[in-house]
Amino acid sequence: MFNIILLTCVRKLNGERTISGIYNLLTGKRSSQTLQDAKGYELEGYFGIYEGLARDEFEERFKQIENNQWIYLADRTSPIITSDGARYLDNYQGPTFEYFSGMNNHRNIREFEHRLLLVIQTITSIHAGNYSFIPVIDDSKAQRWVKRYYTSLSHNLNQEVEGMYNEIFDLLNNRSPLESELFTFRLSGAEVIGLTYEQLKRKYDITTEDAYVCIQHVLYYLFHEARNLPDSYPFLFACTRGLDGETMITQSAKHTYHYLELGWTLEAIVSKRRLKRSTIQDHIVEAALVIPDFSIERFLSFKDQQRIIIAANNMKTLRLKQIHQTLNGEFDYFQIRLALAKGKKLTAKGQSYADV
Amino acid sequence: MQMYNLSFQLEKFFGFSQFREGQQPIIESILSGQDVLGILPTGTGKSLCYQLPAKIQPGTTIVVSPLISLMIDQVKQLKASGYKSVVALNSFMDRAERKKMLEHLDQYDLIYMSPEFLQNDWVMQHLVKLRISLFVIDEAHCISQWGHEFRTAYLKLHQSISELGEPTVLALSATATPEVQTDIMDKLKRPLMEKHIYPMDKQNVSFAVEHYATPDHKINRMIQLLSDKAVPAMVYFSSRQWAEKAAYLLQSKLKQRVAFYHGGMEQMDRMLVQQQFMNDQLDVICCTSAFGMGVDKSNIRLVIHFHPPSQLESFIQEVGRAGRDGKPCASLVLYGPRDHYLPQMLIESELPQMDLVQNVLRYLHMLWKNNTPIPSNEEFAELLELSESQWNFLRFQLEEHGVLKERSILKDPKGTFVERNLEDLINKRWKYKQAKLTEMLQWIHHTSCRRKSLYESFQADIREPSVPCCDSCGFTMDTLSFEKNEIKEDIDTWKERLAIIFRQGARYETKKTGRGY
Repeated sequence: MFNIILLTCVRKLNGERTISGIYNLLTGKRSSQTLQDAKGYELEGYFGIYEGLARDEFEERFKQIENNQWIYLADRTSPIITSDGARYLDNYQGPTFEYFSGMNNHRNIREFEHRLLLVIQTITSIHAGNYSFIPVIDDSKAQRWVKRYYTSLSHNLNQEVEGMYNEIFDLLNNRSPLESELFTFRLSGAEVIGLTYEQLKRKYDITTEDAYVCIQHVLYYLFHEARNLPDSYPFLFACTRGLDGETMITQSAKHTYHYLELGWTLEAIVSKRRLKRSTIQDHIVEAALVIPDFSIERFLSFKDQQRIIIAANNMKTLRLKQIHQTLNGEFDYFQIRLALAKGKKLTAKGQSYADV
Repeated sequence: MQMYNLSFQLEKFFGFSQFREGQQPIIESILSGQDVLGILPTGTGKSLCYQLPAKIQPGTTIVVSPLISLMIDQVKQLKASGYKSVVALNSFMDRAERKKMLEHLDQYDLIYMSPEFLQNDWVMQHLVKLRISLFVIDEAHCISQWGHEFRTAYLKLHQSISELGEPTVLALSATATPEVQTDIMDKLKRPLMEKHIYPMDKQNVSFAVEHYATPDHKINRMIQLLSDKAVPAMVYFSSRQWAEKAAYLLQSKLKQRVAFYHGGMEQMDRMLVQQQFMNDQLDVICCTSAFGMGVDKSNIRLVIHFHPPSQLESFIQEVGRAGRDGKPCASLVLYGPRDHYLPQMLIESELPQMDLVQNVLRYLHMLWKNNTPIPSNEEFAELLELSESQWNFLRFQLEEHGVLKERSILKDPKGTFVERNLEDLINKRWKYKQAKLTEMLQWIHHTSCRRKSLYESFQADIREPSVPCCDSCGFTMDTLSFEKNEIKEDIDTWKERLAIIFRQGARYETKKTGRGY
């Protein structure tokens, strides 16, 4: 299952990025390079879905898919999918991961998970008459939220618990049995305590990473359905309340963006902030990636933006060097990156799920 | 003491109808303003001795506790039981959170903190504004050089007590020999403490030691023993790797539910495993000494030591987790010919070698010459490749010698007696730890009554056990028989599991009640 995610990344990255690039994507590294890759290769959904992934585990898994001959490494670092790998991916029958929307939601999902696990333990324990339970979630923010939520509930706790149960039951019923199993066995209630990833791995004879991505995916799915149909899933919707407005921009890039807004030139910002020119350029690319109405015209005319995008599309690559050469060195790398960062919106093609 | 109706208050705040042995006399003494030294065995409800007075007395109670995880567990359990006016000040909190807590300290009846925290001037500034009615030192043996877990910050507690206006003092420990008891009172400068010493020999435990040539033989023995006796059991290991490895081996051979637990696991996983065990969802737990503090499970029948601890005091505490319900239980030590190496290595990591000490002194000399303050504790330890406990030890000794005060160097450590004094101290401490280990090993090789030999340094009279005594007195593990543990039915599908979590479906139809049930 985790393999599927890795293989999907490899296929989409087309041999143009290294294994580290995939690691940075899954763990949600906030660098302009990673953000740009996520957008450019339509992998926004996977951005930051596995923040706690350990580097050595990740490399271990990569070695396995390499040993299976599903991928090979070009120039020792950049993975390329083999025909076996592509066949495996196309014939795969297990849980699918179409609901991941990491770029927009990975922080929201973490909070959503804490709320959900804690509120289920709390309400079911109180319902069972047990007021002295030890919370499985240590996060004090989530604890405050659960307290507020509990006091907002109606007096009929029977009905509330039944409602929560029905919402989760209905939604899990639409997922693969494995996802539903993993998710329910992770939950703690009045009489049972949830399992650790280690225990789930053993129970279902899968890897820890498989268990993790399946459970995370169920969370994204529940989050999505709750947002889409708040009237059908009032309890789950309540758990998503107040979780929006994630801006992906880093603090430092935000400063640069602020000066740009004031009309400063790139050179002026470089000397004001005493940063390298390339760093400020990174900030500008980052802003172009994540701020929808950010205009890059002062660096590159609309027409030139189009020329770069068309060149990239024709060559089916996001490799800067190739694009640079094809256009006879007319644009520098910064301009090409900018165009590509804006690019998707310009051509308005293939909006991924994450953008909807 | 008629002014407090203690039984009524006990019922009111904790829901218990009766005190356990030792609690009431200690509480009465505290409430009359008498300083108390209480030695009560593990699992007898030591903490109630201050939790109840904290509730009913005006003013604030401070509890100094050595372990953050222990504090947090206790606070969680208290809060879970409805005791809300309690807080643990600890280094896990971020600055803002800590600031908020410190500004609202007067809202709490009970404040837990580490002894190191008490040394912080900023914290002290807030504390002196409160009226402290009781000052509690938990795990008070940490005060003593002769206690099994010496912590240097404990030595400064007497200063804090006087700065806080000399409140009543309660020192508590589960394991303190008469020698340590005297030392506690000396170091606290409280020679007139009223001693409440309760016997620590557990009458419902049988002891046995078995020798095996290799770890594999030990594992096989455990498999044989546990497949025969399906009861809640704890197995102690001296390394995380071994706890995990053994858990995997046992999982593959036993029908019982086995898990491991150690300090290297993630916070949430630790919490889940601990609660599964308390909730009887697990039968066997393979753990390091990190497990157990704050775990109040009454029906543990078997405590196995796969590796020996480095002193009898730890052993007594760990065995003390068995049979808190008063029913028969057993302790088994599995000993192998090379088992003394691990504790030895542990001791080495705690105490600095002399070449390290010389490095530190040389470095301090250089800083002193250049008139530079010393780096932060973490940096310093990393720079000179010291473990945390090694640097704690050295820093405290250097402060005592007037070389250091916080981050500044007061005098040149070179050319003084500092080095020789440190060497003496380290040698003493080393010898002491070795002697403790030897004591443990001697107990393992002991041929007459183990019960007597285990407890005799703590109390004069050893009581008659209510179960077979020990292997020297004719007990063997194979004759042991327990009531069968009921292994809960296995739930297979997610639908069943979800129904149980939310208490829905046929099995709950009759039990449904409204809010406030």
